[in-house]
Amino acid sequence: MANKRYGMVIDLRKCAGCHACTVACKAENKVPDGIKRTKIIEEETGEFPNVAITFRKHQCMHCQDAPCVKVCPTKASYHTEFGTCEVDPKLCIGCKYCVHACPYRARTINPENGLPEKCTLCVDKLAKGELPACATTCIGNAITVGDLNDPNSEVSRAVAKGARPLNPEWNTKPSIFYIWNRR
Amino acid sequence: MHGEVLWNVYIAIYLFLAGISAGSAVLAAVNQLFGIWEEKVTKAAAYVAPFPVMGGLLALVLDLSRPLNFYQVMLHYNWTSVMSWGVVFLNLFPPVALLFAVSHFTGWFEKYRKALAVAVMALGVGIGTYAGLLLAAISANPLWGNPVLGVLFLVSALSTGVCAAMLVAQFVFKVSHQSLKGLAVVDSTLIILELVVIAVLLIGWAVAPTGGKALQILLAGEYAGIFLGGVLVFGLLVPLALNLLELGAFGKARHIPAVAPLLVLVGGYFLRHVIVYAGQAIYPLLLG
Repeated sequence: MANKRYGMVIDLRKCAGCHACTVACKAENKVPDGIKRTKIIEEETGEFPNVAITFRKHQCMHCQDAPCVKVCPTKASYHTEFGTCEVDPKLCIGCKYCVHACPYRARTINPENGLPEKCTLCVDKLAKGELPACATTCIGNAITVGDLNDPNSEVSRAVAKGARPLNPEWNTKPSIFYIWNRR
Repeated sequence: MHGEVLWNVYIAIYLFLAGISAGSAVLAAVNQLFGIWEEKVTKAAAYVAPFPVMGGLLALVLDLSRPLNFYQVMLHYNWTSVMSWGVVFLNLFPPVALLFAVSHFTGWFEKYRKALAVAVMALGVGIGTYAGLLLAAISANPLWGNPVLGVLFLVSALSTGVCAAMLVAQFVFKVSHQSLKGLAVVDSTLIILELVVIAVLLIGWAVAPTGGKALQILLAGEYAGIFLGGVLVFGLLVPLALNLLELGAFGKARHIPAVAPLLVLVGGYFLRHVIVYAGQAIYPLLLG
């Protein structure tokens, strides 16, 4: 049986921009003041008069071909057995090269422990059969998490129906997909 | 938050000091192998080479957000990371450069001096080049993601290294005016090369899809003053003019002691400062 590769599909049609995911993530992961692992970015699309504002949940994209993993000199940034990206505190020297390398700008430095701070997809909760904090709290049920290697999972079916990662042209093979609401 | 500086003056200072070491090591090795100028030039450059980079390494450790873990970078290597290659060069360069300097100071192992010169030259070129490629590997950064930075950092390392050695050769070893003039020719050539490399970089940014941000911040934005004034005018053009004056390119040669090499050194620092800071200013984090 193939390994699990956890991924997330975010349905932007259902996102109201309420920031509950941001808050739930901070509480769950005890993220210090001033930094976040995930946040809502408001993006304007279209041209007047056909314009819209999209709320997009931004976070680590858990790339399969991850620039952060490639540049880490000690291999402290690595892929877990579930295909998510994580940082090993024992190996991390705090050189910040990964923070510079992330094209999604999804890492930052935790001022308390010097570690790169970023989404882990709550992989420990997933392993126990629970959902990430952001997914459980989402008021619109916009966040789906599952196994991208299982063609019958909800996330795989959403990807098959056209959910796309942000900037797929960067060829980093993200594990976070969006159902865009652009008409 | 936005435009947060993660790599600050420590990194700029490190890149500057490592460049001086690399450049003076290459100068010492070249004179050792080809005997272009008197031996005092080799000595001056060889004595300079091991030390700036050691200060630079201290700055590098101070920059880390987990400094007590720094030894992990010497135990674990990732060959897809330019930083790991840098660690290899930085592990080898100081001891080899120190041996080379000790050999000249004490007269020990004279037989191996040429071999040491080849080794220290290769490592010096490695350090000079990797420093630029470290930034160029961040390919998504509009300013850093340009491999020509590897050439720029190497040429600037050679230039600042030659100038540091020139100052020591002039004031400590009292080398002949003939040798100083020779070094001024080398210095001028490197300055001209550096101007060409900078022109290539600017054109590279101009034609790259996202390079406009890099051009804007360097030529008209926040860092234009230090780039145009500190790097281009006072770091390259003025010392070039002073060198040419000294060499008699404009009629009678006039002796202008030490001003040109000092300006090149200051300009060398500004170059690294501007690239490190401007690259971060135009490439903000989203989750800071």
